[in-house]
Amino acid sequence: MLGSDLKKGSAEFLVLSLLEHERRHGYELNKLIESRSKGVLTFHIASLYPLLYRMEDRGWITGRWVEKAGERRRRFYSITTAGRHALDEMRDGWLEFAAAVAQVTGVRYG
Amino acid sequence: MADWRERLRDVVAGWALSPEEQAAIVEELEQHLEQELDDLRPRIGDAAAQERIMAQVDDPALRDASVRPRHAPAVSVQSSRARAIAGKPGWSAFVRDIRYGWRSLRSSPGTTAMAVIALALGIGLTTVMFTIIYGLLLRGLPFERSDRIAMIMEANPSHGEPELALSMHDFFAYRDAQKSFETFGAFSPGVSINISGDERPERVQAARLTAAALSTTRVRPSFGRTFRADDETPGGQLVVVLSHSLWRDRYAANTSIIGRPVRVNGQPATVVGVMPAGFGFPNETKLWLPLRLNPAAVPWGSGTHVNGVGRLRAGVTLAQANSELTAIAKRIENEHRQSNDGVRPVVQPFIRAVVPSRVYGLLYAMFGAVALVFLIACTNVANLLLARTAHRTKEVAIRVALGASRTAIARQFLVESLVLSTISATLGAVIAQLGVAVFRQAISGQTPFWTDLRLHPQVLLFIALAALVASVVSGLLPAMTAARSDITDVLKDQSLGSSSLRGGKLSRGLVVFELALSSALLVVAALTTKSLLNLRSVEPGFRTEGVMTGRITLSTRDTIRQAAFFQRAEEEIAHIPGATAISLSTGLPGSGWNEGAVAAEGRTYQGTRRFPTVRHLAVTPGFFKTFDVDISRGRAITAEDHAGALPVAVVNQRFADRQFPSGDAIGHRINLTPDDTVEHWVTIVGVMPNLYATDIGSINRHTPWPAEVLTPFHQEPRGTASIAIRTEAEPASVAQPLRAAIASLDPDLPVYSLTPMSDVLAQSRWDVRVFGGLFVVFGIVALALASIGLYAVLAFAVSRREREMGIRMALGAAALDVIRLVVRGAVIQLVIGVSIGMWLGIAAARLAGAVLFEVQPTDPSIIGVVIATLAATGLVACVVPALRATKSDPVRSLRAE
Repeated sequence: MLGSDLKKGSAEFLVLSLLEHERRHGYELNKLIESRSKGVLTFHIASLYPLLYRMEDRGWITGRWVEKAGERRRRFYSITTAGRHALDEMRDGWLEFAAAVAQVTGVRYG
Repeated sequence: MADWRERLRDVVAGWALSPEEQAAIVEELEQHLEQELDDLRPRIGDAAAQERIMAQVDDPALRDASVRPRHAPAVSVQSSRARAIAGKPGWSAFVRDIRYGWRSLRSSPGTTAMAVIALALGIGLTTVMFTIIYGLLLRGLPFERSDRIAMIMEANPSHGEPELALSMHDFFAYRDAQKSFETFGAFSPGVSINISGDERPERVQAARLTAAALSTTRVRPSFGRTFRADDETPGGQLVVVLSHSLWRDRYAANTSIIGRPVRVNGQPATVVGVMPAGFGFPNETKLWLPLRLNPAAVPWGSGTHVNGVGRLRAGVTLAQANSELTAIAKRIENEHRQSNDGVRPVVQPFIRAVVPSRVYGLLYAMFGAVALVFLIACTNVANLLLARTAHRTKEVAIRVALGASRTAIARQFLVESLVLSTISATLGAVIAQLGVAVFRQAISGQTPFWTDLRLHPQVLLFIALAALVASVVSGLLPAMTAARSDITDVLKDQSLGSSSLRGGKLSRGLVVFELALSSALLVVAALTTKSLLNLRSVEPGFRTEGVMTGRITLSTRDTIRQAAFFQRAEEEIAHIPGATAISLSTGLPGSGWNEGAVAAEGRTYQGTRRFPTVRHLAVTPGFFKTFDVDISRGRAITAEDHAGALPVAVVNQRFADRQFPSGDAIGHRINLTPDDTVEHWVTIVGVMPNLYATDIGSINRHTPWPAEVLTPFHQEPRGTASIAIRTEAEPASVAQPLRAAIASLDPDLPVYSLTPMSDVLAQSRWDVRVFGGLFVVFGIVALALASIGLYAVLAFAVSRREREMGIRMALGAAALDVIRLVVRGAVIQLVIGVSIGMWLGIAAARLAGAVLFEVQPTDPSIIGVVIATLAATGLVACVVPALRATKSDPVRSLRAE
């Protein structure tokens, strides 16, 4: 597990990455994070939704109710332009950070 | 076991958000948790799953989460959703309905396109007619507060006289006593005068009016002045006011025209003013003269009669003015019983008083006709929408099950038809724009000066209203049908809802209605088409090619001088180079000639009303050669028939047959003034073929082949003559020589109405051509719409019975049986619809009699053609779907379940 500061920043990073190419609803986001991290990363609603709403306030993502034939309507989130900029910065920052960690510790990503 | 939901609500409520935001967040979190619950349950069991969910809700992090209120988009979507579900009206729900309507219309582009075209045609045609009625009758005079201008006439109901001009005595009595009008003047319209003095003489339409009549319009002259009270003094210096067009065309827009002397009917006069462009009050007037009345000179009730015109004072209504004048009229009646017994004033809006009732009737009849087209279009759309409603029974049932109220469903359908009619109205406005342009072209120069045919804002408002009416009329039935649909019925029987069966019955009823209206219109259209063909192919009995015509009116009333003038004129005109024959006559063949009574010698008639009527024309000998009319028996009028000779006449075949059925008319004597004390006996010397004669206004009252009597022009001196010149050259080329010939005799005398004879004949038929043509257009549109309607309904009915057809075929029914099955239903509708329509159409044709020419409303060939056309169209409309039905595959249609 990563440290809490890092985890906090990385939660937004994760959400933005998952929304980069597709809009998704909250449960789907949670499931994806859980399955792609093979259960290492999980969110509860107490952490996920306040996070989503904060990101929405910042203008990184927008939530919209979407109705599909024969289904209940759901709130889908999609990334905004500001969100893309933020995502790019986070990626650069992450690479820089990871490279620095690797330099210091000799750990290499495979 | 759902108390985690309540907990969740409590927790979120602690976030202190607006109720909408709270509800949205609760909904979102609930969904999340429910889905998680569903995922967990199979793996860990229900109880454990519930526990985990509860744990998430109870997580203090959730309670302490700081969520700031979020803004517009999400919330508004949420609230509109909430309202839409609840079925409460609201702007965003309306917008949503429109979006939904647009989507669902786009999903069936064929139906939508048909409906749009049908409605656009209906709206377009109705708008054209409304534009005409609005521009001609409703918009009013182009003057300030023109709705306050009234015309004052009199009526004598006890004598059956609905509209009389006022005697000048009555006029002055009303004017001096009344308080309802701020201006009260008089005019006598429709006088033509000869203007001369500086340029070539010209005949112009003039009006004599009082200063008050002109100031009633509140139109100021462009320059100079209008009349003053002292201009009305009999015997004073004569002044004239020119119209803008006369000033521009005759005086080259010369600004120093004021004070210039001119001659009016040979009398010296002075120009004192020029009116602004477009001003033609009261009657296409080009020149205004003061109306000079001298009531002291003649006894009460005799002498000049005038029309009263006035501007109502603020706050006074027409009815109030009418009752005030009626009180005055009763006082006059008591004092002048002899002349004024039973006479009552009639105060009407100016245009209502001036436009003949016949034109009013014709225009409103046509408006009725297009209203029918419009109704047909609406019916069509209603039908198409009904068909779609039936297809959407399931959709509606599901929406109702999800909580949409019936009003919400009905509203959705209405909104759809509103979207449809808005598109149609836009297209209809374009059609109207084109139609009005075509109509304006067709009637150019034939309309009163105030006519302004454009898509005025009021007309656009009319289009909007029409669209609204269309959407309600065509959307209401489907909407009600949809809203009434029974959920359980629909859900029980997956393929056939009871509502759609009801829709089917409604559809069939609508088609019958539509067929009836269309066949009614088609009857009228066919009758007018036949009229137009008759008009085109009519053999008038005289030749019109190569003949130029004109008219002169002498200023003198001295019959000896008139006779002398016309003798010389006949010689002068005969010398015009290129003229092969010339004639002077009291009128031209083919258009308005004098109507009169006649009595044959030795016959007795009961009362003056029993005398046969004839059209009487006085002609010079050249008439027969000019118009190429051959005498069938006896002789023509010749130069021997001069003023002192035996009065003779040539009659036409119709007259001879009617009055002398047993023997030859020649040698008999007839009296041309049987109702007069001075008898005018003439001896019949010849018989000629029937000559066509009609004019605007008489076409529906008279046969175009009237009984006629021609007498020698020189035996009956007149003040007015029509001149006709036959020439080998282009007819118009003799116009200038004709003017010169007349000018050489009297430089003050203008030749007017210079028109080739072929145009004279065409003009006499313009209203039949224009209005008949419009009816034809209406009829064709109605036929197209009815066919679309019939086709759509039958195709729909067949598509619903495809499975039944398939099974029938599978069980051995022949294709022909299936076709028969489909066609039978259609034939019943056709028969009912067309029968009602025929009856309606014949009734309508009697109303539209004004545009019929030599056709009876019950003309069997017409009725046959209409029935055949509708039957053929109807059969095509039902055979196509029937053929499709024979191809239906039972296996496929069963599988479609």
